[in-house]
Amino acid sequence: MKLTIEQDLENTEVEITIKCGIIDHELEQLISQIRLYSFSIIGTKDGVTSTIPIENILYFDSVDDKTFVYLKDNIFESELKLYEIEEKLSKTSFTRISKSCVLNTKTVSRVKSLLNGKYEVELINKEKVIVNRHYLKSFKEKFGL
Amino acid sequence: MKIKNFVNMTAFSWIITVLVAKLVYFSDVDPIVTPLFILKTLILSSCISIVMLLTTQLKNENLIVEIILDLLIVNLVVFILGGLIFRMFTFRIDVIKIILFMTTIIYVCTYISVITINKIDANRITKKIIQLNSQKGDDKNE
Repeated sequence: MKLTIEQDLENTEVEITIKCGIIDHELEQLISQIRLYSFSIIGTKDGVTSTIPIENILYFDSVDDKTFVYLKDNIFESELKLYEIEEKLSKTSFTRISKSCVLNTKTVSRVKSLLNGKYEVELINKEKVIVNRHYLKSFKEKFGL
Repeated sequence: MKIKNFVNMTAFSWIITVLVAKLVYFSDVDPIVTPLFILKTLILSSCISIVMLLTTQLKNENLIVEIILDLLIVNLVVFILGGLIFRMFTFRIDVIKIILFMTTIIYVCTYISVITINKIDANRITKKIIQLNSQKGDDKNE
């Protein structure tokens, strides 16, 4: 792969162009990674609003119609609905794993298959989340299976 | 459940159905695995998979409820399509008992196959993550 970086002070915005024959899985992963860096989510905690880089997010969880953003060692509340987040991040490493959770598959450290047909997923902060049977297919697809 | 799962499930349940039918011999059920029988069981297996695909969203999170619902779907299709339309068996108590036994065995075998595929995939994902992490480590060291 040839990598060309053109640095010029006249460039006011970062522009990435990919020239390729076919988009294979590796390139797909790279594109989703680039997409990830161009998004951010607004989160609120204790009345303070912050911009959260999407790559720092472990997962989104919805409880009682409220959406929470889980980071390695912090939790924020988001005004976005889970389906809006799912739509917005569909082409990134994020995928829905249950009715109430959208997971960043880049933060997965281990996957264990359970007898009830679900997956138990361990995240980089040792937290465990469950992938429901109905979302297994899309979860596996994020890992190229 | 997408096309790949649908094909896997149909193919596996179809093979098990033909094997069980070959092993279990009873007078009122066609004991000979003829091309027509194979075709009928393929249609049955496909119909069961399609109905399951359509009812996926209705399913409960409870595993027991889901298994009962799955078995109901399987038996409903087998009795309506296999019994009433294809006339593969007659509606007698002893025959119904054997059919129920067969559908349960086939369902259990298919369920075990799905669980096994999931386990293999889970191991593959974990291996991929470990590989990626070691690559990242190597890149950092360089």
